[in-house]
Amino acid sequence: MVSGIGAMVAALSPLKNWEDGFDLEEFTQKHYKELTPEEMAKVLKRIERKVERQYGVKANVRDIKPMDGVQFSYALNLSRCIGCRKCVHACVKENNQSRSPEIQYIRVIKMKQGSMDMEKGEHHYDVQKVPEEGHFYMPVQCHQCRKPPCVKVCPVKATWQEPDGITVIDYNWCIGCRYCEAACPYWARRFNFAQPKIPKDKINPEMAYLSNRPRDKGVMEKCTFCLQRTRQGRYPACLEVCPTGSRTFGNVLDPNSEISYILKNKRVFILKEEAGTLPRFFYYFDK
Amino acid sequence: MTDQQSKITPPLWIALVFILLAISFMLDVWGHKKRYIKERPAVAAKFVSNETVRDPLESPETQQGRFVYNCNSCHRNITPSNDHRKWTMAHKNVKMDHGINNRCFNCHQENNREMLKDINGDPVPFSKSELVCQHCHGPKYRDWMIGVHGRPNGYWDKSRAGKTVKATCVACHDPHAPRFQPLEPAPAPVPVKENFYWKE
Repeated sequence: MVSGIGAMVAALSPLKNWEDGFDLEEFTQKHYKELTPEEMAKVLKRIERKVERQYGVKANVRDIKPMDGVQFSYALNLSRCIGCRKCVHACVKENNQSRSPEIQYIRVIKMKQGSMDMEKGEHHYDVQKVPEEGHFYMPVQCHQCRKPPCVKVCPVKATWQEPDGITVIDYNWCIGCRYCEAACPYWARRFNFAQPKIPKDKINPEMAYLSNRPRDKGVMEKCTFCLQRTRQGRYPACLEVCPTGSRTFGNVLDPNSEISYILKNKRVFILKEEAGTLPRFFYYFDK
Repeated sequence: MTDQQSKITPPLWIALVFILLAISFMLDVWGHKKRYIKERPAVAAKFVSNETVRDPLESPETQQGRFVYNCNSCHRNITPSNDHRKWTMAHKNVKMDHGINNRCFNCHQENNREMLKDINGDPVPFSKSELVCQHCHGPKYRDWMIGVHGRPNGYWDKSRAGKTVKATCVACHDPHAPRFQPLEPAPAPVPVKENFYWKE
């Protein structure tokens, strides 16, 4: 018995390094889908207090529901993307991602012109001017797949797909096992290996429960098509910053939308078609 | 045959080993190395700004030295010439690289430099300069009107009362040298494990 107690104490020793205080309400919170509106209002207030405590910023945390009759899709014109990575950093700023360690939802891959061989793609190109001769650039983010492998493998159902097509994560329910990161063929999911560090002046106070409120150590996060903006009719941050206008976003169920025009008139393709994920993110080359 | 359940009592020294291990973990005697996070430098503000690449001229004017002039204040008195080599002295910053469209008066009015000229010769104000471009670049103009060429800012949901601003042609393309110029890219991402280092 003594040896058993000794072993248990040894196993629990990492708890010495617990960083934030223990919040019983947060620990015993129900799953997002089980929360009543009153409980949700209390949860949002608690998150606002936590943001105030951790970052000194007065946040506006809302629970924004999906719009009716809307299914989002995204298209990207590979003839226009120059690989400047402005979308990467606009996304980081809009969605309160950790700066140290660095988390970026979008990854721009430099590919040789004429080839779609992803294994020869370069992620860490660092040059004076883009675009470089003989290459094209392909930004990859979560494709909000219609048959998402990440949702299928989650052991606790912390991630699911909403009616408007966005795959979301309940950060308070995620246990951090990273099965979804392993299942995703596009490496869309990012894990918080440490407590995220965001400079106080760079926090975006317009937050939503399912998307850009600050996360804790040990949970997954990913691109949510900026649902705090898009569910209110606005464009996502990556589209609004792109200097060449290569991105197109909208409601694919609306036949007059820009994205419908692209899907009807341009020759679009998807990545890793053989994986059978049916993504909502389309690429095309244009004149 | 009697079922003797023999109690296997481990010797006392195993318990002592476990207690010593427990104490050593609590006091961090093992595993001296701790994980530290590398600080990443902040990204420059220009990489998150929504501004277009160029600042289009809203009204016709030119800066010569310290003063800003209206075009007609000089061009009232200058006879129009179709030889573009002659204007480089006053308008040094204009580089002409528009392919075969290198005649000034294809787009500019000879007798009123504060207006542009469309394909029929009608005057077009500088604030509506896309009406000049559309006559030669029809398919691009059609795509721009739909919203798939160029960059809209605002609302994808057009039924919202909010404003959606579409950048005009010259917000990205220099009308005299329209090809999109290369830009400086933001710094490269780091591999995930390079965010951390281990030290005593």
